[in-house]
Amino acid sequence: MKNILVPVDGSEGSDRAVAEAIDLAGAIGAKINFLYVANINQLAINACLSDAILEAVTKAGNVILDRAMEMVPSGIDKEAFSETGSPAVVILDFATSNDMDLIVMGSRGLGVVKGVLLGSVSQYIVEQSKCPVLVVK
Amino acid sequence: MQGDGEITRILVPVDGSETSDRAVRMAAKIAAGVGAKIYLLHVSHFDRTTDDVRESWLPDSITAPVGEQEEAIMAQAKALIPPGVTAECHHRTGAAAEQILAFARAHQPELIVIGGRKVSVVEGFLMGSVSRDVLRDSPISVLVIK
Repeated sequence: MKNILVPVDGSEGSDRAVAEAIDLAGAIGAKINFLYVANINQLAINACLSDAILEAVTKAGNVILDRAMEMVPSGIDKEAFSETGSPAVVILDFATSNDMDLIVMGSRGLGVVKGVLLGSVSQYIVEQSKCPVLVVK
Repeated sequence: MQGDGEITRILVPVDGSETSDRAVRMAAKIAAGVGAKIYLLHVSHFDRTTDDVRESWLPDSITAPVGEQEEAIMAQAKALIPPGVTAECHHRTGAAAEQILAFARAHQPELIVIGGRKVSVVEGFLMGSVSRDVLRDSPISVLVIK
């Protein structure tokens, strides 16, 4: 177990996942890889994105990634990645192509209907992932 | 996970399948790292004591092997726990997801490690449906092993 993937979106659930991943990484000596996925597909429905919007999205992602990186104590290896696309698909592709051993994520992210216990992204990843998935409640 | 995020107890439902073995190994690894205790839990639909002993309608050929099978599954899981990690064996009778969640409520583990691969019925009952139900209804974090 060397690489833990933690998709982050700045939500409360994502913050809990980051804290949990840090505990685990410390316990088993793994590296934490944070991934922010800008959901461009959703933003760009039939529209051309202006540079200003793209820049704003990138900046928002960087803020979220920086915050996650700052939570990791020294002594634990960490790296931040930023991608665009449909979150569930991008997260799974990233996990496969970068040989992740474990995905740690919140049960719900941003923009989830109240009362839904497991968000659609988490649900999709738990079902489709080839590596273990820790869903943090 | 609640607040401080410290893991002291890990619940691992086992059914003797390969995925279940992988779940035990993963839980043992985490337990060794954080100094947590492991609860191995096996759930079967019925056992020797399910019906009245005197007027049993279940023949011995059905009830007796359940006990042996249960012991074999536990022994298999326990063999995967390295020395230095504490593991307790528990057995419950009933519907798997329901019993796993009830056990979690009673014993308050901070983490459930469960096999999640959609295997065939003959390979074990920890199919997608059990892990899915546990994941959906669990108030604590669930690690789904593939």
